[in-house]
Amino acid sequence: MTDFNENLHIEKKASGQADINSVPFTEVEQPGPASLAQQAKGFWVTFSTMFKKNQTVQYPDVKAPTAPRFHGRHQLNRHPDGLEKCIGCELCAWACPADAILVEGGNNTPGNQMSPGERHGAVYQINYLRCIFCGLCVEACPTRALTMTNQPAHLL
Amino acid sequence: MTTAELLGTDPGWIIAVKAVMVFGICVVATLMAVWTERRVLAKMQLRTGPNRVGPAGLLQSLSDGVKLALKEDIIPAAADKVVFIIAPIIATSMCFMAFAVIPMTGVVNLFGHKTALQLTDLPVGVLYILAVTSIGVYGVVLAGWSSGSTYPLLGGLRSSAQVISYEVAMGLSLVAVFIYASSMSTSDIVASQHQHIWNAVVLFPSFVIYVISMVGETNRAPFDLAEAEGELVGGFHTEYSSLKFALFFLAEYVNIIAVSALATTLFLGGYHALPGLGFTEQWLGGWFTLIWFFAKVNLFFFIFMWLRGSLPRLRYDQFMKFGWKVLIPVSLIWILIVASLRVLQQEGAPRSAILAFAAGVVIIVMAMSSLVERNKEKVRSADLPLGEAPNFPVPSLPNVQSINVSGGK
Repeated sequence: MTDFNENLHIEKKASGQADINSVPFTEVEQPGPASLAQQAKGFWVTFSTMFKKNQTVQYPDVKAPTAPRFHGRHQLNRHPDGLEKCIGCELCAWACPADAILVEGGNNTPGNQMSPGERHGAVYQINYLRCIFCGLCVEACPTRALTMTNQPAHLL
Repeated sequence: MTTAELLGTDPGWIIAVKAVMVFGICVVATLMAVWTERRVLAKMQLRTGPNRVGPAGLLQSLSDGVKLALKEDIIPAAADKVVFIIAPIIATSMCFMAFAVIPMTGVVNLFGHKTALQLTDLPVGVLYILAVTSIGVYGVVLAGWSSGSTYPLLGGLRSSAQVISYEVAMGLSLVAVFIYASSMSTSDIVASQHQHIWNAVVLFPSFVIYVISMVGETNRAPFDLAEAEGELVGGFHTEYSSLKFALFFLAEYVNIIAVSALATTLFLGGYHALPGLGFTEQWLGGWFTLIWFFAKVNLFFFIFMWLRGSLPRLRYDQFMKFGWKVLIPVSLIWILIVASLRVLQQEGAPRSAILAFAAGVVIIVMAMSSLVERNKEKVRSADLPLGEAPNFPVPSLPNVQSINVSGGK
């Protein structure tokens, strides 16, 4: 058996250094049990809460509006002339911490001009079972092709 | 004709029908109780509670029960198989048995036969209830032990200690009722309250002690140490699954309903209407008394839910201290007082003697409490028993303002 503590060197503190023993002693006043009236107050809180309007949103039946900057479903945008903004650079796929995005780029040919420039995204898939809605892909996109909508991504 | 004589004329088939009815009432009441509890607790927390299955979620507990029954039944390899299977059966059957002596209606017409909805009327009915509920504890203890696992064992131990301690206080609080009604039969106690006044009024301290100890007895919040989720996983039923778990679940709720029914019977006048509403007892051919009975039981059940919604769980030592050092001495003293008053009454003592006795009791109680206060003050101002104040912050302990833990520097 090896004594592992042999290799363990704990330096002793210099005597002047502050440690827990240099903290002045303070008596901690502990409050005794609360009076009966105060305890009854707690019961009144729960009782009166029964008659308040409850906060539950009946989600599938009632859809509350999302927050203005809610990270919802992704959306691929187009230029005003109808050409795709995505150039198939795969920066979003590289930025994705959950490895949820698959992009395959393709060449623009004279008969098939999908986006301005030479390349376009031929395959663009986001796996919503992996996506964590962090928005790093949106930050990575150099052409603002990928953005997030305000709508919840309905997985079911 | 007393209830016992009335029940004595029951033919066998009526008894069988009533047994089935009692069983059915217990099971349906449990389903309703689970739903009610979840809804009411949700309301207390600004939530809605179950509302998807059936109208207003009423069938939620039924579907949960069916789901539980259809799940895979696992018996752990380390478990003692026989005891593991018997334990939930003991726990469940015993709390159903407690219902046999609870009078739920007055005289009613059941299939053309005049009877009362009470399976049997024992002359020692309340003792019988105490007996079967304490046998029910065996279910919990054996479940904890036979699981062959640490947490269930701890849960079972806690539960047994808890139920035994609180059963003492519960039994003592009932003694005053026995003295006052001069009977241990549930129907006689109901009758005596009908003649005089509810026991909850005349025996108010007993009533309070009973209500507190019935919460301890049924392992419910804030006394649910036996199934403290944060400490013991699920407590004694951690290793149980499927129908066996469902049986424990059923037992817990039937137990709650049983102690509430007992409280109704012994303290709130049983199935009789509120004072001044006696005419309602004849409605529906006497069956309206069943509604009165369940209204009162639900009042107690609401107390259970309210406590659960308001109070955090007690620490184990505080809980035991409360049971042994507060509830039991208080109920012992209260029994002495009630018994003395009862004897004075029966011996035909003049009113002045009774008043003098009551005044004497009040003076003694006040003197005792002032002595206790003074003693507390003495302890508080006493010199430090150990060492001097250490030079680091420590929380103050009772009686000891500081302790020396620096090890003699």
